[in-house]
Amino acid sequence: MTTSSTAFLVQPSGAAPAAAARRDRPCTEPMVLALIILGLMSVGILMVYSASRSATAAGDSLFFVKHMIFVPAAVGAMAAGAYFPYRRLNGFWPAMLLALATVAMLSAVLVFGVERNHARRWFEIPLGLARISFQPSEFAKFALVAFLAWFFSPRPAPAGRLAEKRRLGRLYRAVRGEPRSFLRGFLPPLALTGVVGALIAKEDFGTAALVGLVAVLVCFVAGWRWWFSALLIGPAALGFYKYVWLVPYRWERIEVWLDPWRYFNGKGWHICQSLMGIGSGGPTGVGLGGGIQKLYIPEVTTDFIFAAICEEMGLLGGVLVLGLFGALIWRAGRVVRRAPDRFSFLLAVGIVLVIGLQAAMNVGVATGALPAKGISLPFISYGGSGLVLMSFAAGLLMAVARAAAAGPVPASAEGCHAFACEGVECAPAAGGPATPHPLVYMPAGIEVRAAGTGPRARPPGANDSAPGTDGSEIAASGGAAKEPSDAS
Amino acid sequence: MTTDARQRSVATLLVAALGAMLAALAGYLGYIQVVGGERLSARAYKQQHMRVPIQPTRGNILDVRMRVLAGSTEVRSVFADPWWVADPSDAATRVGRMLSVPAEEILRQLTARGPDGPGGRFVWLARRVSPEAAEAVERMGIPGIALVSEGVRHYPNGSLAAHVLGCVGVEEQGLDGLERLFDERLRGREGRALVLADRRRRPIWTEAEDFTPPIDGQHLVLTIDATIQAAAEAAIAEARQKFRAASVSAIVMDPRSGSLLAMANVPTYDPNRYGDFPVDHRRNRCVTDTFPPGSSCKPFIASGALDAGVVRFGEVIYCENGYWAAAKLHDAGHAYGNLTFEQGIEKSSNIMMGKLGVRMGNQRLHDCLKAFGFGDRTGVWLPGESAGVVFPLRKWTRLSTTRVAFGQEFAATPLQLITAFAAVANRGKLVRPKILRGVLDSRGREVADLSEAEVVGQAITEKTARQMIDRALVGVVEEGTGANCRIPGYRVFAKTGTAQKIDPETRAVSHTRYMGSFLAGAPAHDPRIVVLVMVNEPDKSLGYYGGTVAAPAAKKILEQALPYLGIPPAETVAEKPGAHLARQRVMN
Repeated sequence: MTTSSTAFLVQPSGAAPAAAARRDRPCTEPMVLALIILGLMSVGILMVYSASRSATAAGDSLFFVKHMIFVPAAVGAMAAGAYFPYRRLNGFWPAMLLALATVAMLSAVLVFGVERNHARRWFEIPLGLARISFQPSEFAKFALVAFLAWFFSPRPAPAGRLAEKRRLGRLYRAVRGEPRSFLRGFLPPLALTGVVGALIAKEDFGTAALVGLVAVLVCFVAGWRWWFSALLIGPAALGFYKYVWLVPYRWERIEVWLDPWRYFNGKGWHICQSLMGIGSGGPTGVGLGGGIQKLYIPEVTTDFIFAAICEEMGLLGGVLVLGLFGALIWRAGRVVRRAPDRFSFLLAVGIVLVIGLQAAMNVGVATGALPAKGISLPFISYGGSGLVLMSFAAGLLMAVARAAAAGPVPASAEGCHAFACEGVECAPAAGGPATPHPLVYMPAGIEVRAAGTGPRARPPGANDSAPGTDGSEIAASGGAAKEPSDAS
Repeated sequence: MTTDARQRSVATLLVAALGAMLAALAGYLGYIQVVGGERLSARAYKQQHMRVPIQPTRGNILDVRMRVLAGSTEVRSVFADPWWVADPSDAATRVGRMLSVPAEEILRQLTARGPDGPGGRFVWLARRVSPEAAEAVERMGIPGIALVSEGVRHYPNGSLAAHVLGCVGVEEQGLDGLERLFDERLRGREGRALVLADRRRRPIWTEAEDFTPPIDGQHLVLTIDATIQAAAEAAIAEARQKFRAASVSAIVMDPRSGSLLAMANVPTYDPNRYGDFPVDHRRNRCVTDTFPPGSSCKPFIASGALDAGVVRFGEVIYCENGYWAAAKLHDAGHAYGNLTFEQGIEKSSNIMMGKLGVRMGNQRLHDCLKAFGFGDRTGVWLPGESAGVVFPLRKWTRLSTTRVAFGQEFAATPLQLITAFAAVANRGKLVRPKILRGVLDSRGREVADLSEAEVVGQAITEKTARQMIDRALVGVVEEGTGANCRIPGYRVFAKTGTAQKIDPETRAVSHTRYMGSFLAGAPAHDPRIVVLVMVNEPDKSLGYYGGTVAAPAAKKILEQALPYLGIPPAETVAEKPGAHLARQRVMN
């Protein structure tokens, strides 16, 4: 079969109009997402340029030059994500690798990382003349989501080598997530999240809070009992008491948050400057590049870029950016609902939560609605590794959308994965044509095999939704068949 | 499948919650801008703008030939905003080395703390540094340490005319002399600008709608001539050294206009570094100090007597051989018998003057002093002028009549003395002495022309004034006590004076503290210049008569000033062969 990269952009010419519309609809989803994200990135380019210009020094700032290298890289990463065979991550070894790499990098950065702004959060990798800096916590956000998505996915019985080695097989079964079980669904993800969160929290409280919140919400979506979440309230309150209430400088942040103007010349400086920037913008702003307050706002290219947007483009610009994020979340929500399998579903939920929560936290900090934390605005802020990783994650959302468009993975294939077999069985179970219609998009990296040629595994109790009798029918209607309300 | 559906709806709810959060944030954003926008933007405007004063350049002080006596130049000073200095000790070491200021001193400035929290946001590290040091500090580019231009007052001639000019303080404020009296004119008006600045207070641009340019200070043109001033200063410095005097003052004046060509005192000081001198040296004794003028006031009383008609030229007056018992007047140095009126002035007979005083009576004596300006400020534009002392008649005692007549029991400043003498030289017209010839604005356009003479009154008749010079005061030089001031080629007229000072401890007339004074003018037929030299408390063993201690200095001044002013030595041919011999006799 052929998988054309532009297949989902091509309007079917020869097909009947109604059928064409049906086929066309799922294909637009990644494109809409991409357009929204490119819109956000455009705002980012404009504002990083504007905010990084020094009023007194001539020429372009290095920030902008670097940003103009990172943005194409991010677009590339997004495209790569869209075609990434993400379901290969749904396996024992990939998940273990992600978890181990995350913990290792987060530990290493505390020792070998470079310190900036009194925080040791970055690796610096020399690359010729330039140095690439990389923040492991950016990676950790998505790695943890991917791990949890695997953890709560149904797992086939051990097969192949795993089946032969008894001890490994036992481990394999032991780490199988059972969301409603306290021992096997509550404690293991909590332990990993705790370790990762603690490692991040050491240098970056805001990102740790974000990671923790996303992890708990993913677990909740995966099917935690409601009282699992309730169980967390106690320790969370205890942690707040011990690490915020009792630690003077953290408690001061809370006080600053409640009344930043009292701490104008000290800890409240950032937020006051940001508020003044937002306030001086008015309804339509002072005009692009015309901002003055941006010269006063610290970290204006990263954490407080939203204040510069509001100063130069006013309330209109601020609402536009929030609207773009809203649109992104709305469209991503559609992808989540149509996710073809559990892994894709949880992965997409996690990514949407990361993007949405991070945007909300950033704007919340800039407007003073939340206590000050160093969190960047997704797709807009300057910030190399974070932007590229975020874009890659957004690409994964598109990959999920493409997979959804390709139709639900046959029940037989759900969970039948890299570990057990080399590909996902996507062909109809009941002997339809092995090659689907050429216009029907097939997710990249998913090999389609003739039925019965690959090893098959049917875990007991697996989804027994019957596959359709016609291959094209399955591909076209896909998940939409289950949600007739979503026809718009 | 129920699980799956539940999960999908939970996810949908979460996404909806996220959207609601964003919507709430958008609402909050609008709330901030609607409710707080005005206040916030006003506050932002305030912090983004700084009101910067623009210092005007202080005006120059020029002499009569437009030579700069005091001028201002721009230099730079180093200041710091300690808030921005990240590493004070490192900055202190580096800047200290460059400015040759101890590092500890700078560190103390940078780390000074106020009563609550850090100290001010502005500290001076070094004022008025050399251009090289300023550039070096600028190149270091330490955040929080910057330079600002400041004016610095410079007196290119050092101590020349220091007492007239005065001096300025650190902020270029006038402290003394003309610098103080005309401080406002010289200073100009401060301009101001509203400057948009970035976070580091680096100016970005100046707001056009709120800009007031500074008005530079005006220039003062003095009547002082630097050349004559220098000659006077050299002459009195020499006299002070030679006679070990406490102080010497000299004034040179154009009698026709009252213009002061020179006004000098020793000891003096250098206004460039006035702090190195005792405050006492900064006093302009010519206008602040008063003395009993002694014999030098005799021409004025004698002129008054002539105008009153109580005496005539050539009249013989008996001078009691040095002791006039009726007036308890003992004049040991001047024991004469019969003297003509003009001889009495030449030889400075106190007894003759006492008799003239009796003839005039108290009222006319008092009026005569007042007519010459004694007891009133001359009104010269110099700070700290004293009015001198002329007692009202009711305070005069029985002996006052004879004492006032030869210059005791009243006190005058050197300036009053020469002003009165200038009236005699100016055909009896008393003019107000003046120091300012004109005022120019910063571009050199004339603001005020003050060269016109200001006549205060007619002290004596023109005829009396002429005769007083021709028949009496010329003789003082040629045959009398002023022989030390003969200048070949010029007819000089003069009057010596030797006054006993009042001892400040015993409050009685002192026999060791003298004031030797000498009034001279030239040329006699058309006086163009008058000079006063006063030698205060010379070493008595070296001489104390005005003709001894003050006349040589006056001669030096005249010798240089007369040719300099273009007055030709026209009268050499007129000198009679016998006059030469007569001169010798007197000197012996």
